[in-house]
Amino acid sequence: MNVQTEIKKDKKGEDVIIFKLVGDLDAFSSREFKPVMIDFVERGYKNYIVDLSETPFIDSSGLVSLISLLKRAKMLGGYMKIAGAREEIKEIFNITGLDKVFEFYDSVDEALNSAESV
Amino acid sequence: MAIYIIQASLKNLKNVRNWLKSILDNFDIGEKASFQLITAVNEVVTNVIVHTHHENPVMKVGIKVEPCGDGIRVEILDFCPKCEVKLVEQEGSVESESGFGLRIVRSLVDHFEHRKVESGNLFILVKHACSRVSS
Repeated sequence: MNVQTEIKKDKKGEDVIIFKLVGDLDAFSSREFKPVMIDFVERGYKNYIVDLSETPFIDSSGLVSLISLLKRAKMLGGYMKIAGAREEIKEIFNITGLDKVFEFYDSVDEALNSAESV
Repeated sequence: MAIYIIQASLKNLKNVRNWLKSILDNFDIGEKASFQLITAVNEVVTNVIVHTHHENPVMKVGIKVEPCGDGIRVEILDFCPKCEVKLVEQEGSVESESGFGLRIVRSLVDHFEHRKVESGNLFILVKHACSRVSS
């Protein structure tokens, strides 16, 4: 998996880290994502959008890595949103009840424009 | 019937998924059912690699796939006769960041069971064509 990172401004003018995960997010690749994610959290960034538009597969380890980011963002007073998830990926969130925990958007732009909701 | 034996390393998960996909493409169970079965098998294999074998690549995991009525039966063997496996039924928890794997497996296949056999722990998953997904 490849993690592409970008910094954008949300509607409120705050920095948002966009993580685009290209490839499968499984127990192996989650370990590649975690240090990248922690690096940004430790640098004080509190707002995140995870772009899953090019993530064809996710497992429970992948879900846990996203939960970890969500919790860290909230602890810092920020937010974490998911953008572009495919239907089969959303199904994994649905069956684990995590569809009620995360905010989902069709695209990164849509997630950025709804940035006032935390 | 097809059999695939891997070393107990998480690096091999992608290979398992690709191998299983290539087999399922030859069966008429539908793309959705195929994806769901691959996801469930991935969870069980991950569990065996991490919790039974502690990612020791000397250890092996075997996966067997065969047709079963209108669907597919997958067996996963840990080759560890001395290993005790307990399937802990729990609700997935955001706080503990755990408990999601078994829920995914049970939700995505029509039948899931664990048997202790002479050669280790055997996990059996059955997925019927175009079958339901519970929520």
